[in-house]
Amino acid sequence: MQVVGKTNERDVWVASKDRPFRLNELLVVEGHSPETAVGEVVETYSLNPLVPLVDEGSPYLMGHEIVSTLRDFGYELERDTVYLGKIRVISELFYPVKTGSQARVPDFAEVADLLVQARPEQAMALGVILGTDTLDPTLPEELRGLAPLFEDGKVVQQQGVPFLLDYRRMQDYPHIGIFGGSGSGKSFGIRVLIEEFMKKRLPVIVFDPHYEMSFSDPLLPDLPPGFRESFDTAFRILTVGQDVGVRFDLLNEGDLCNLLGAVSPLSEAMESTARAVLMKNDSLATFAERLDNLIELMENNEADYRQEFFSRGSGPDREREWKRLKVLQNQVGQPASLRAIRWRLHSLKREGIFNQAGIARIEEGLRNRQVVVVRGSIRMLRVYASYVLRHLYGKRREYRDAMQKGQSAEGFPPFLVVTDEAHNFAPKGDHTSPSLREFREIAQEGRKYGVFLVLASQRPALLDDTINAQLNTKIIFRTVRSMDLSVISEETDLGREEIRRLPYLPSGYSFISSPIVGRTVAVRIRAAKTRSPHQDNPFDELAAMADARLGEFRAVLDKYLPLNETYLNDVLQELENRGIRMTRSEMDSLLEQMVERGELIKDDTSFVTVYRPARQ
Amino acid sequence: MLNHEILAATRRLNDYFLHRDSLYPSLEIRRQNLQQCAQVGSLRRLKRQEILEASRGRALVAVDGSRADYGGIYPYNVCAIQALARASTESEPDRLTDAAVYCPLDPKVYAEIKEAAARNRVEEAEAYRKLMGEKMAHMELKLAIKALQTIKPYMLMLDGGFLLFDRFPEWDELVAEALNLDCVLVGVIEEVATSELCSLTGLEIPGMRIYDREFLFGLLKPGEMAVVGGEKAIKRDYYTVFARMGSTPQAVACDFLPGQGEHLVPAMNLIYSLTPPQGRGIPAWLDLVDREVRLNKKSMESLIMNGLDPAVRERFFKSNRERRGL
Repeated sequence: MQVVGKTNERDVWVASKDRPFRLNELLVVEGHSPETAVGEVVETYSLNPLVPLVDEGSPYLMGHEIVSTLRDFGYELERDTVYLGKIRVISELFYPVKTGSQARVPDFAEVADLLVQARPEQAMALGVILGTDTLDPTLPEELRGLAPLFEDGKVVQQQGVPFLLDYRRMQDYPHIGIFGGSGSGKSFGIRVLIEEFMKKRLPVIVFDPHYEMSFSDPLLPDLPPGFRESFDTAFRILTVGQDVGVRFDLLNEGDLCNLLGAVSPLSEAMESTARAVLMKNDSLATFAERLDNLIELMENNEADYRQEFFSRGSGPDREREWKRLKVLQNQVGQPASLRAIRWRLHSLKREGIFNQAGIARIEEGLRNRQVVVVRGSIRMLRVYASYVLRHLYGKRREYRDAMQKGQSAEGFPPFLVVTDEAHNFAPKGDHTSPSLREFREIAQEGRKYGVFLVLASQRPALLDDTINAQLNTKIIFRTVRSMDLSVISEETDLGREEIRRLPYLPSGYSFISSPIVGRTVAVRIRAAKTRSPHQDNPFDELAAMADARLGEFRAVLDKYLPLNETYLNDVLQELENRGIRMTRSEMDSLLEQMVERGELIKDDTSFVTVYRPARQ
Repeated sequence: MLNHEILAATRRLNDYFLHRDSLYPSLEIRRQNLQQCAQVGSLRRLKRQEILEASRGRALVAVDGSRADYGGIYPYNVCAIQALARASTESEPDRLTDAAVYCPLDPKVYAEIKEAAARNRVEEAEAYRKLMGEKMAHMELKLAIKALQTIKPYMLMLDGGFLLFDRFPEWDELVAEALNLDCVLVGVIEEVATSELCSLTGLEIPGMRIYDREFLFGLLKPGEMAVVGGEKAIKRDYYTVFARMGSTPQAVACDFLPGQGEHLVPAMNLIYSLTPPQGRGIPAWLDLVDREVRLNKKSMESLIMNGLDPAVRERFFKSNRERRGL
């Protein structure tokens, strides 16, 4: 292998007569002062002077016959094949690479600094660096077995150098973005990342609109012994409105306005109305009642309404409430604002967001250094995430600020926020989005308080620009849309060659661009240890369901065969006795299916149709 | 811009050629003429088994050279010559190479030019040009002997007729070695520039010298050859085979040694088997070696850039013509 052509200090062509180059493999260029230069292969070519170029008007096409005659004389066309590789120099050089110098495959030790920046116990093993297979024989023991791969339905041994991301350096370079279209392996990437968080016992809150972040089921029933790992104590799943929610009695005016505004933006008049109507220690019921009363008061004759109001109850409390209503009546100009607040409140109530459990169990999980998965519909989560993040982030900030000032405060751990479909939580160009403010704030100053974002999205182009710019580490899977590609090319240091490869990356292959690593690395993400509950193919599920139904039916039918059509109702009766509800038309369809499959013979030669078993 | 005077002159030339063509006898008569002095036969593409039996694992070797000039007019000129002998098998070595650079300003080279100019009574510039051609043929010849000795091939193809090589003292050594090793020696002539075949056939047109090229043009059918040799040899005692191996109507020629007459037909069949049917009729292996050895203008320039100091280049070799701006 030899450096050929005109060179500079960054891009170099290397030619070889006998060895094809491999994308992403590392090569050492010898004879360099002050040291050897290391480069990564970014483009590969093979060419043969005897096989014409496609655009050359075929000056010389050697026919098959000639080639085979030459072969009889011991000549193989391939002997004249030349391999070319374009190498991007990774080492920092200040002079051009010497043209004509020899290149070779390095030992691991020679390139260790460029590939591995952290010790395995301090870092997350996300996958295998592509093109490092040749370094496998010289890989030290401690770097082996960290990142097995998933291939052809099996988990296979790690071959090559593991990609280790030092999560501690998020202190300097916070926030991670994970981008990729559907089927690109993005979901697996998030899963692997969360598994690594769990291994390191980092407090993490995951917003899970897809109900897929469960870590109980192993990827395969027979995982290799060293690879299998149980995360049962490392995560908890909480559903909004069921396990967690918003405690109304703890809401302050600001929280309330945010929640109401999350349903639909509030005008200034509405906001001041909501602030005025909320009283300390209000429950959802008392607040809602006050709203109703106030609307009634403003829309009816005061004397009539007063009578009605006191007819429903009396006493000093009632008197006090009446006075309050009278004060509010003057403060609130229009009943329209009240109505606007009322429908927003009802909407939230219907979503089930108000729940006495509050966020206690989320806090508890984070304090226990668990991964807390919060599930809910995407609409609900957008509202809820904003509430939860404000509180959690607030607690963390208060604690850190108090520490700074030397005051004592209740401790609250640093934590990470993970979410898929991030463009829904922090959309570009939609300033009314309920959770945008919180995500932006964390993106911009979360680092100071040890709060970090991991945002995944299919559409980086739809993610808020400010946030996008703050995602220091980006893991990029296959991306096809040109808009997304252009965002990626602006927001990362991916080169022209890599951008060109992005639409064709196989599932699970990614480019990781991170200042923690210092350059863009092509990584094949490791096999996840666990699987999503949705991993079954829905069509398999459909077939299984149909088979199960048919099986139930077949078990009953067997006793009635051969079956005269007139007794079909008996079969239905028997099915019902066994607790299987079936309509006549479903039964007809099942019988037809069995005839089609050749299990039954339909005999309608006589007056009535008779179903007979095909085999006796 | 079209120069009408030149155009008119060219048209007059064209009229002459049309007239000249009309003087030719018909194709049938020309074929009869040919058959009187040459054996006309068909070539055949060999089967794998036949090739394996004939070669018995031995290689095919082709020797070719290339030269390129750099610089202005004589004597401010550098000539690089390189030659390559390449074996088809993966023998060790499978390539033999040689190279040299000449410049008339070098006293040793100048002495040779002066001597050749006096001997041939030509100008020095002309002598220099011819000398370089000879140097290359000489280099190819020496390489061919070396290739015979080290590779011991089944067939060795030279680029050019035997007359190009047999003036050198080493020629006899090559012939002896080839006969000794039973290696078929072939000189492949791409451009037929003789007129001997035509005069041998007795075809005469008063006041006009007929060259073999035009005589043969279109005369042979694709896959046909015409062998002259023995008593009727046109070049010393060599066998010369004119053959149309490709689709172009122009024939190429192959020289064989008088002592290898028995190999001639199988060797021609093999050469034919190695020649792409659509093309100019040159065996692929020779073309391949030609391609590999070729010194083009660009590579010559980069060699000069690397080898000569810029000051030397400017002072001696850069022609004023190169400095033209318009």
